[in-house]
Amino acid sequence: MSVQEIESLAQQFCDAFNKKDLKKALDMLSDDLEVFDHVPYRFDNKEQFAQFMSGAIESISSMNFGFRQPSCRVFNDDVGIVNAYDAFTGVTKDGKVQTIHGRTTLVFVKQKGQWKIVSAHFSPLPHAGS
Amino acid sequence: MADIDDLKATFEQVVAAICRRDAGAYSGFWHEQIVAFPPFSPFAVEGKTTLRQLAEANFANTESVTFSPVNPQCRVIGSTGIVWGHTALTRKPKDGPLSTMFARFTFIFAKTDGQWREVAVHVSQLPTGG
Repeated sequence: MSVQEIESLAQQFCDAFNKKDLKKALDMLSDDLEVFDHVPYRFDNKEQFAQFMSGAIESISSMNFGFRQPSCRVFNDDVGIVNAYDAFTGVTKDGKVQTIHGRTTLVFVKQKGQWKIVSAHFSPLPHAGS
Repeated sequence: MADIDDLKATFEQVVAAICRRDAGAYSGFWHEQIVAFPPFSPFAVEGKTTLRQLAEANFANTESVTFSPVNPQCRVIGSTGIVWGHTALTRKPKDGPLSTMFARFTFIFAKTDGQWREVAVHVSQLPTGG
């Protein structure tokens, strides 16, 4: 795996969300991944996270999600890590605009010949000085 | 020692180094290309040298630090080790009162030269759910 491949996979992940193509985004996840997101509890597998994302996306009419200043590294040719700032802007079906800035860590590992996300940590950007 | 047991032991040593405020011992577990998202600063910290300077400064400004993982989970996938969970992070700054932050953490390790080396760490304050 190269750094360019990792960057491409991270972009594909964003693109899938921006097209509201939840299936494609979920296809990039390992079945037994763990996720921390912008809620207090954690997700211990793909099914839990899929249910959460399905509910979240259903209330959004349009959205834009992207990474800023991604740092992509590959170790031992079998793991790729993305650390990035993230920005989400969405418009709900009742017309409310939501903007969230955060930080993302993604871990890609090759499983059955395909690169899958096995760990994801999304968190709100801490306030400077907090 | 099995990889998963080695990973657990490494994580316990990392936690012990944090609680001793021992930046030298703590940084001994880091890969040169580590990237950290710390809980109190919005900025990513890239590289072992930069992170060590930050850790030394933070530890020097505190009388005590206690990192108390709550039911940490460990997983090994090939040469990748992931430890994640919730934690209570208690700090006593030299110039301020004792405070505890409840947080989520993801520590990512890669096995290099027979050792688990931390390649990424993401610690974020527990969201309030709002």
